[in-house]
Amino acid sequence: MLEVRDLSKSFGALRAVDGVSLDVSQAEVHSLIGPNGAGKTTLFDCITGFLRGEVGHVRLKGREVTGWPPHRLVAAGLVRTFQITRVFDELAVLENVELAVRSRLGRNFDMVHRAATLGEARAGAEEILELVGLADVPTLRAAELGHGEKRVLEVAIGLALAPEVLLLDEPTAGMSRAETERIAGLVRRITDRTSILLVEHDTEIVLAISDRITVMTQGRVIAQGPPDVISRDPRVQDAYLGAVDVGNA
Amino acid sequence: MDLNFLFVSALNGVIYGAFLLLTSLGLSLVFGLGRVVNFAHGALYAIGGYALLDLMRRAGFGYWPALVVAPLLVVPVAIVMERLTIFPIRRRPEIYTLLVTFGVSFMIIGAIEYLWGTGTSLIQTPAPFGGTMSVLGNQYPRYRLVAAALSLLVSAGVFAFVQLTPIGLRIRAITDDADMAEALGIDTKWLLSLVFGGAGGLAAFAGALGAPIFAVQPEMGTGILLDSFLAVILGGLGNLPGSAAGAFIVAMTKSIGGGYIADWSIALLFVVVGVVLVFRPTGILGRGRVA
Amino acid sequence: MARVVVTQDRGAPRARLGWGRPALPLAGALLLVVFPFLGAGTFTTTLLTEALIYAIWAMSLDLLVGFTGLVTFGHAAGFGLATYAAGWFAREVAPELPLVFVVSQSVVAAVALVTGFVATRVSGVAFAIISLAICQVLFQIAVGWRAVTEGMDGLVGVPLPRLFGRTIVPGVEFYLLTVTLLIAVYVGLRWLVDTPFGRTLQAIRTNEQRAAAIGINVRLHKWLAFVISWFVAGLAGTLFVFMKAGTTPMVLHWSESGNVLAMTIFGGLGTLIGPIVGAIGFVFLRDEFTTHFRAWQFAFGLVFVLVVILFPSGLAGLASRFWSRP
Repeated sequence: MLEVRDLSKSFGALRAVDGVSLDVSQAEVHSLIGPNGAGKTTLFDCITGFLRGEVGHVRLKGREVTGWPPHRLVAAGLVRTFQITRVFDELAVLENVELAVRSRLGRNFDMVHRAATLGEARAGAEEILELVGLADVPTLRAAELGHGEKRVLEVAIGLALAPEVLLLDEPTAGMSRAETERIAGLVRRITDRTSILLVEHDTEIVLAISDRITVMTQGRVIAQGPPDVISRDPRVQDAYLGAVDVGNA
Repeated sequence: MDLNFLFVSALNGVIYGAFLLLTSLGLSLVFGLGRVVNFAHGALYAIGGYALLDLMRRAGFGYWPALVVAPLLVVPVAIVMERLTIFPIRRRPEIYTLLVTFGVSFMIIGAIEYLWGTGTSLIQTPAPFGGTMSVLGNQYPRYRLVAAALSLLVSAGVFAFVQLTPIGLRIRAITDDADMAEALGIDTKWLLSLVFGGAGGLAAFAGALGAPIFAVQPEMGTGILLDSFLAVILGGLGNLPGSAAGAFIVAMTKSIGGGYIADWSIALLFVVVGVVLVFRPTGILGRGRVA
Repeated sequence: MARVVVTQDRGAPRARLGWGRPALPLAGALLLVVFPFLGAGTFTTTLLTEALIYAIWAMSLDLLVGFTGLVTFGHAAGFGLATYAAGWFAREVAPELPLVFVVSQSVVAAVALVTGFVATRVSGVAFAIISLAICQVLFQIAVGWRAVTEGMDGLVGVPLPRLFGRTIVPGVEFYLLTVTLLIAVYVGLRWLVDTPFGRTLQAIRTNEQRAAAIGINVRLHKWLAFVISWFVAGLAGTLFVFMKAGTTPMVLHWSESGNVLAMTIFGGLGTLIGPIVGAIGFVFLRDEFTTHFRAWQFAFGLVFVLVVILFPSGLAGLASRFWSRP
């Protein structure tokens, strides 16, 4: 579904992303892990059009999409969420998702109909909220959600765009154990409608839900493979996993 | 193609560029340091001219002493302005300071018109440098060359200050990364006020220096304000060398273009800026922030 | 206003405000229509006419600033350009109102398309400065292109407008024309901001990056908002040149841009009603003030500064909705 080849991005002398390649297959959950500053978010930015990589290619379902602006990528099915929650605070939960659904329906230039009465958008949004478990608070102002619920709303907005590949940037950041597991379950559930590339710090979750893992450090990929292989890789343990006991993964 | 005409136009461009340099550097420093966009910068330039006027006419100063004193009078005004109107809103998004300084410029120009009227005052070219001199076969007003040389000298001084002094180092550090600088214990609060005062002084100096050339009237700062903004945007916000380059590009475009198409010079300028922004939103040198 | 305001009580279903309470704008419209028949003198009616023209202008600014988040320092451009296009055409060709509108609106739209393309490539501060520069260019042209604009003297002798064979005289008739246009513009913009397009603009205002990430073509939308905003400002400008029977380059001066900005901000961004109130307040206050004091510009600046510093919530939309920090 998604192919990244030899992507590089520098900021002056700093090579934030250095020749990174990875694949995401259909219905796969592919995790990207690595210490802080490894270049994971920068990689996301490059793939999703918020930054321009100097070198490298991105292909979506075989199509060359390198350097496309974000809105074109979204239309093609490549969607991302953000590390720092950016929901539309002043809008209600349902409206946040409706906004995305209307975008997916190609309604952004509709100057004729009243947004609030677009039934199709409402129905689509309600379905998504049902899926992620926020269906009980549709009219609540997004700013009033708890942190964990806001992260879930982020994912919901992403899903509402009917992506082929969904990039999740640290979806469980700052969440409690229970909330983290809830998201993990959600991620596995949605593989029937989309493929997922996610950045995560919670190694337990990563090892539990991923089909494949890519490990990055200092802008480079140092290991790539299924969880059991990664957890045994000494380079990875050195660089990142440290003394975590992963015998039960 | 009349080469002499072209040469004189280019020379005019260099002269104006030297003035624009003073105001653009001030703008750029203040923005880089505090993320403040000072719309009242042109008004401070104007106060410089009027301060000079009053010093000469009411207090009987000669031109050169007045030239030194006028900016010194404006520095505290600028500092007070920063403390009262910008410091209180420093945490808000950048557009707020632009709005507030926009309001302050109304105040200053309104005060100028109230106190001095709306007429234009001319200042005689200061004694030793009156008349013209020959430059490559063309007669050119001597004072303009002197004034430009002074501007360049002062600008070089500003660059040296920023590059070589400890305070300058602090300024550069904060410009690069304000949060990190604060974490390292660099006191940013009064630094901004001082730099703001300094920038105001630079603008006032430019106003006083240019008074014999460009005349003194309430709107004298508007044109140079806009040009300074364009210069700083062209060069990339917060980027000093970029602002310098931008200043000369703006000045040359206006002078050379203006020499041939008179009133349409600003339209040409806009086209130039537009073209640059279309291809390089981060400024010509590509290192500024996208505004 | 069709904004969802929710209760503190989580989970309690909250009835959606449909079209908001139409009672208030309706009452206001009614009041405006009958105003001249309530015994107000000609002077007041004329002053109110000017205020309502400004109100249309201010609403166009609100669309750009309050709903799309693009603060502009050059909004006198579309307004002033229309005064020249409409005034020139009315005087040199014919003052038939529909025809004049077609001409002036076409000119404004054409210029807006071109300048907007460049201006919307940048955001925030740079956009504000570029829009100021655009206005300055028009100002210079108005002063310099003497053959057409008659320079600093401006266009004079613009005839009275004619509509369907009937000349519209100053006073009550022109006032009613203005009120009609005001109501039409208000209804049109009110509708527009509730469409998916309008919601998209507001999403851009709230968080540009996020908007891009949900598939919104931000630049194209900003461009469209820019052009629409100029278009509506142009409507106001066309009325203005008829009201004043002429125009001068001062209509394109940056202080005019500051005036309309003030009206809109003080009235309340993102509300459409706010700019109307702001415009009326501004015109009447200025008239009152300048007859008694000389230092209007100074006082205006002072109030502007005070409002920006002290009443951030009074600048309703700016505080909470703009530039959400990432």
